[in-house]
Amino acid sequence: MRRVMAFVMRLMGRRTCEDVVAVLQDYFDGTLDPKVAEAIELHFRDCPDCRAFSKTYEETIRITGELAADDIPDEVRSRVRAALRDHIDAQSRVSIDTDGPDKLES
Amino acid sequence: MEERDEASLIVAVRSGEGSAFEELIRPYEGRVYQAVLRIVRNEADAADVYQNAVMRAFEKLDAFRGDAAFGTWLYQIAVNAALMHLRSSKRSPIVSEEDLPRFNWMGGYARPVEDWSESAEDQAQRSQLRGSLRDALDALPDIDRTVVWLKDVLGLSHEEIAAATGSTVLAVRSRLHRAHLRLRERLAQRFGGER
Repeated sequence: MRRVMAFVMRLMGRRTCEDVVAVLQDYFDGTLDPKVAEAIELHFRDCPDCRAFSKTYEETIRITGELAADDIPDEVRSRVRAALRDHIDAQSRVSIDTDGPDKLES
Repeated sequence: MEERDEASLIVAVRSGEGSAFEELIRPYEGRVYQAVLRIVRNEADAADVYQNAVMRAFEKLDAFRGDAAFGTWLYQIAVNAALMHLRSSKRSPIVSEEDLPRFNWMGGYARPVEDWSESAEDQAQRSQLRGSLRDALDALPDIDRTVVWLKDVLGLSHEEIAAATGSTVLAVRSRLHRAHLRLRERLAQRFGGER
């Protein structure tokens, strides 16, 4: 029944709130067909709920971006660097063993 | 000692100067670690996964072609390692449809929508919002959480995220939208009075 009503609304050239929410990501990414974007903006003009929804949707993404952190615990950094050095040293020893002492002297 | 650029460091590592790899990854250490931590949600596991990712990147550096930026390539290796770790532990959060917006038979909202975005300008409120958002992120399915972190925090493109997660651009866009809806819904329930 809901789908039928939504279909009727679209036939009348009207977007439902559900239609708007479905394409909100594409709207903010700027990838919507211009005619669809225009229909969305017309809907915003008359729908305070959708204006509120889109503002809070956009704000949610903005705040998510603020979660960026670039700290790494010192012990993790030290441990990984030590493991990397051990790994590189082990590789060098294998290389020397494979090539043999003659290679080093020449 | 003069600082070397990324391209020079990559050449140095490939020429056998293993120690140059430490210098190469230094600008990315924190962000890569934080991405891994956000995906696996556990500090002990994050340390192990991060170490595995660094080792893997070192081993695979010869395969780096420069099609993507080095940092992006490194994130992809780390994300892959984190997701593989999660697959083996099978602990993905279970989500509810309650976390998505609901609509009535006319396609309108089932409940009023509150605009809490202006209150987010207050620094104290914003700090609380960030805290709630971290919790909401942890409650997302693993792959959705990963997609959000890569897009909204690290700024990767849809194509780069698809490559990192073994997915398609269409699937990435769809996941991103659903994840944003869930996150918005959680914040609305906490701060907007929507129930």
